[in-house]
Amino acid sequence: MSADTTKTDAVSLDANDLAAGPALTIAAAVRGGEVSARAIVEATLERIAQADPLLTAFTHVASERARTRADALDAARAKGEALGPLAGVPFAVKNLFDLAGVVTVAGSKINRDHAPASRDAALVERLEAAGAICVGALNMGEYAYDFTGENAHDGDSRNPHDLAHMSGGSSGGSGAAVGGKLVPLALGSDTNGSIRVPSSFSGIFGLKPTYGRLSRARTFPFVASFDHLGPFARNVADLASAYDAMLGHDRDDEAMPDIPASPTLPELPRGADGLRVAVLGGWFAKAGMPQAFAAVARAAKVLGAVDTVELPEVERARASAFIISMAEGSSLHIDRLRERGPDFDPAVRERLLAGAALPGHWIVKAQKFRRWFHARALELFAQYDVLIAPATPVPAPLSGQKTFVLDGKEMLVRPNIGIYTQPISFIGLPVAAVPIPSGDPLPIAVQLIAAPWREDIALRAAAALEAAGIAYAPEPVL
Amino acid sequence: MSEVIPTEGPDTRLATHLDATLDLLALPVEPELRERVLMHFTIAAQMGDLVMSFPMSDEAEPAPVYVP
Repeated sequence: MSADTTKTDAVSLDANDLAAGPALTIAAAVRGGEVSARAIVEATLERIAQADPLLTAFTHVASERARTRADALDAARAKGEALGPLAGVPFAVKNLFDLAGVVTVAGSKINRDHAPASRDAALVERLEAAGAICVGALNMGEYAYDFTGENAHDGDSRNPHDLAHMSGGSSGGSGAAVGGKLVPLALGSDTNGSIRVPSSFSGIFGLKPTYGRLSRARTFPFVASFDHLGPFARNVADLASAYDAMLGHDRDDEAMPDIPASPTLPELPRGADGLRVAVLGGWFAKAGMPQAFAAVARAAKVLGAVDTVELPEVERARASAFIISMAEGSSLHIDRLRERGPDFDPAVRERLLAGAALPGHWIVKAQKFRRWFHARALELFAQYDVLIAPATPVPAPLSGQKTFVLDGKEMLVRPNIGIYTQPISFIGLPVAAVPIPSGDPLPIAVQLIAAPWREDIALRAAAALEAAGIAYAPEPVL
Repeated sequence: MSEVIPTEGPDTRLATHLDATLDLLALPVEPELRERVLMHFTIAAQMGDLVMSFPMSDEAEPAPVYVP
């Protein structure tokens, strides 16, 4: 970790109590003058200094940037200026987001040779325009080709509920940082499940918006066809507020259609009233451990989901996402594979090399199948507003675990953690990943899946589960 | 489907294709890594078979359509 952190004794008790969130409580306190943004930042930096050596969540702590930003907010308030809805809220970003003056490493050794970014990523700018304060960059699986949160160069992100287990990835630092209460908000990316998997393993809320909803400008890509960015939080209102602050068209992301979006926070009190909810069966009811299905059953009961429905051909959808990811990822990295092979994490390099050999007609067919599968999903959404599925087949495996047994078969851990997430991001549907703790030490989450552009509905269903007391971010062990 | 860990020897045609393509693309692979690359390629080939065996019309459009 690179850090310019310096300790200070000037942290108030209130700030220490407040700094882990909720984010909206921090913002209200900062706007109301009950605590300074600077005190919140100092408490956050202290918490990071204490807990991060155990979690390996941060790869860069932006201490001076955060202090400067906090002082500017406090000065603005002193002058009577109105502060934003996220005033003084600390957040951190997966290290594939550009932060001005910092090298965007994207979990790699190779990109450390790049020049520092000249400008913040679009979503960082938007969160800070709402008053939030970026405190650093977070660990991730190399080049986002990962579901574990393990990193060969920076060390493995650890699960905040049991340090011997995975955080989930590839946004592993995001899961560990929010799950471990180092920051109340974080940003991550999700290509095949990289927001939803760490949400499940680390026991926090995550939102993977509709493909094309939030700007990817100035972030390091993985698979252009499926790359999404989104927020993590410890409650639904914070998650919705972060999402709302990042909405808006951006010409700098060429995959982004100019589709109107309304804030979701005002919609949350409606809960699940009037929503038609079903459970996804078939593929999504097989191959998981009992904890995964118990979480779905509890969510279904609260949301009044009686029907179980099936998406057809999910196995082919997952296969299509799998090979498109391999091929696009390989194409992105082909020069680095040729020139810098030994500098990759071998677990990433070996899959990218395999991707270089995939015949082109497989990929074209997979993209045609993607359109077909999308049409079938829309048919289901004519009947239902929310579909419930497990987020992961298992709670967090042990760090470094290579295989597990699902349905009586020994499987590779890395690719199979994403069996339930990959078919959904394949067609870009919005998903709220919602932790449903069972009392076991390791949490697990469900996916609340909505029709394209209906993040509001996924978040309303999440709010209903939270209001019923079954969805919450459990306290970390540290 | 979920790919199981391949327990049988790889299809020699897959190995031939993989080796030739990596050579063509000038992508270096150390011998100790090559077996794992082949394992991943074998898994991907199972995925590819599944995708290719789905009947679609000649008129089927791929999902991303260029909008000028």
